[in-house]
Amino acid sequence: MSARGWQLRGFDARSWHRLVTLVAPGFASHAPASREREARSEGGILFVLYGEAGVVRALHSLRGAVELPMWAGPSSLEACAASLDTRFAVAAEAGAIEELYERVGGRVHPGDDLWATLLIVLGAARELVDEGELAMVPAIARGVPLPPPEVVRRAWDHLVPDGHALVLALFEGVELETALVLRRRGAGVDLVLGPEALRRMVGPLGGDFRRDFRVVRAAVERDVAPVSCGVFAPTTTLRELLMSDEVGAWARAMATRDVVIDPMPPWIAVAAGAGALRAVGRGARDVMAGIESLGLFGPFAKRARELGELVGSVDVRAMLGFNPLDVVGAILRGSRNANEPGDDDHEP
Amino acid sequence: MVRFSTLDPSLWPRAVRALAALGFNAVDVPLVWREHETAQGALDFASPYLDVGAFLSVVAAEGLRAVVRLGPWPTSDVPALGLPDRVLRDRACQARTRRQNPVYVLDAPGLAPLPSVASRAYRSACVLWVRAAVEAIAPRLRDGTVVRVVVGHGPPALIRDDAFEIDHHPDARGDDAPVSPPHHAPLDAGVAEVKRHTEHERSFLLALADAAAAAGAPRERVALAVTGGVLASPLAASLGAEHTLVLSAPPTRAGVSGIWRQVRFAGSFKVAPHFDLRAGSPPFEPPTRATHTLQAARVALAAGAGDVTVQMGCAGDGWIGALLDERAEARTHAARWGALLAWAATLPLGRELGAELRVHAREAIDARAATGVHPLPLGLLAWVGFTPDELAAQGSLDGRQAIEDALAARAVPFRRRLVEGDAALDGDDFVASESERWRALTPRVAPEGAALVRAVEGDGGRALVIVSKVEGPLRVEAPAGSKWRDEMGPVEGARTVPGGEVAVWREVVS
Repeated sequence: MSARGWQLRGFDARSWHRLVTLVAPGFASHAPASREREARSEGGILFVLYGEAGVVRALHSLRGAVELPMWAGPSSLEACAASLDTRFAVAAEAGAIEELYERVGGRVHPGDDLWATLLIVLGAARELVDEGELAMVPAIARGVPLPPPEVVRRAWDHLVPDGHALVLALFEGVELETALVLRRRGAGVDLVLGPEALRRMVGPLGGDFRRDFRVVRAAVERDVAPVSCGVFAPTTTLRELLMSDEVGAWARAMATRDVVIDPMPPWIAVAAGAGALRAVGRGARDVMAGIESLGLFGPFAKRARELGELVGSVDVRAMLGFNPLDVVGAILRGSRNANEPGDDDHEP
Repeated sequence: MVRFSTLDPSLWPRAVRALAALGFNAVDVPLVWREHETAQGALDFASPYLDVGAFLSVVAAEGLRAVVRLGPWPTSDVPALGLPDRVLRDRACQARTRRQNPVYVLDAPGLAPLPSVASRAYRSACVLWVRAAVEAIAPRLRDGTVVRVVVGHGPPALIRDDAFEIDHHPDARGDDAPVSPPHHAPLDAGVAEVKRHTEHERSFLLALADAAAAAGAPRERVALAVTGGVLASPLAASLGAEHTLVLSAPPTRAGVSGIWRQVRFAGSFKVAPHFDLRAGSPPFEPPTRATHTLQAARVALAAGAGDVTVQMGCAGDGWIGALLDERAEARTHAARWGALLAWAATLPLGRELGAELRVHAREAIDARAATGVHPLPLGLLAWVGFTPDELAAQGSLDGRQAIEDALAARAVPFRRRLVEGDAALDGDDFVASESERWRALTPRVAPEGAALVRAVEGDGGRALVIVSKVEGPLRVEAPAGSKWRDEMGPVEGARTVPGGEVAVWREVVS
């Protein structure tokens, strides 16, 4: 069930657009008059509903309803997607969507928290994939069980303890360009703040994010909650890091202070190591040793190892069938919008 | 739109004053049932933050009017669909799947059970809420501050008249056996199911309207909120001939043509509809830039949407990109909305000219039911950017699409008219009445098909509204023998219209 009473404040259209398109450039806003051009461009998502007699309906997020003359069942989905210049596609057998609703409706209960609900929905979708009623491009792994909610909750506790906040502050030149502050309360998030709210809390900044981050963190701790993790960087740097598939890129950026992470929780240390979630999941002790050798996280090393074991037990790849960080990187690397800061620079 | 209950009452005057300064003549006020219900059935309209009478007094003091939305689910940003938990969790009120499970919908960041509009228990509870809410605003109805009362589920994220959403609540089906999913059933059976569901929606809305009227709201001030795009909605087609509807204007994603078509279709209704325009985006939908929402609004206004609400008036309600921030101060782009509305007030009014395209209400309902994408969860697809228009009507708008496209390609003004009766659909649907008049008005456009044109005849003479639907520049040449002027002066032969822009030509009468 929904977390009740959460608030979202302090975003204008520009700052929200910047934030969302940082990780999902395909959601970039376009002018109504560019609709026809967009419909001819590559990208987008293909959705196919099919039955025994063939395609019932095929929809493309940029082109609308489309014909799929090469459709020969779910095995042809990738080829169909390629023919429309898109890398992402979902095919649902007739009845699969209804069945998803049935299973979710039969399993969700009043009082379920966010994580229990999420796992029910993911679990139902994974079952349909395993049963062959849903297919996706890129394909996701089949037959891997999801972790129980308690394990996911423990991971969430490590990510942001109850009553604490996460901060992401991105800078463009001397300006705070966009920001996101999340405060956890109970199982969910009760407060989401954007850059307008943060600017009011912080007041004038000096113009160097390597110094300003302390002011931002102090303001959030004063007005919102203790910060469990804060990420401070120029927007372009963060975008490059998200796009990068280079092992150790994050660790290097942190070492050179191209990105400032303050405070530095152990799970960031793990993640910064080298494609760390996967590595730790495989029990790669050398990675952990390498992180510890940085000397940055001494007091947290033991906890980091514990977290590593936990992360291994909540294998995100197994849970979703893919690693979301890999997907974000792949999307950004392949997106025609990824290197564009957006054409809203002069928009109020 | 201002959700006053999310703002500190001390900010109410500032917020209303700021909106008045931008040129708005009314404030749209959603009342959220779950906020006002303090105990089972007990409603509070008087406590600080909930004092709707006090807020309406502020509105009246600023010389503005109010549109009050009663829902029961008035806007998409309210938690738990705006319903009290006792209603939301009452099994008797919940819509059912075929196996009698609750139907869950997104209530970000979680899920919420969808109410059944056919459920007698839900209807009874809603009727009581509407009556109580109307009684709470009765003084402001009597003094004319409240000019419209809107009932119905407003959020566009859920399209309840889609066949996929067929409700298997016992009150919806009576003793009838459950049907196969629509894509497994014969077409006729699927159409019949859509009609059955549409009838439930219709009777639900009319029951709420009756409740509002019984509690003292003048019938002519009661409007019905219809979710989803008007082209995709059998419900809109069935109600549009007789009732004032409140419709969501298409998003930027619909493109110029999609926005234009939906607004123009709504213009065929006997009673002019009320359109909801967006100044931003809800947080769980793809974001829109301020410039793009302004452009979409400009097209909708040019197409004839004259009675509009700009949603996301004040950021206290959680919207992204609201006109006012949480301190009720106008953001920079708010001034551009003010300018846009001032420009809209100068658009030509009067009788619509042009080729007439008849739309038979009954046949339109059938066609939409038959050609919809009923097996697909429209709410989910709308979230990723599909428009109801293209989902339900693309290429299959009961045969008229080709005629419309042909007219649009030639920049010929045309208008739709919703007609009743059992006339068969044939070539007579396209009636080139007043053909000489509209031929004389038709401009030449290059590239062909890049503009949409509307012709109006009013007290000030004839006028053309020319909308470019492409990015590049548009060359528009006046018809031979005609004399026109635009905002820059007399049109000497031809004009270049920037991509996506609107030009208004008025005929020079010597």
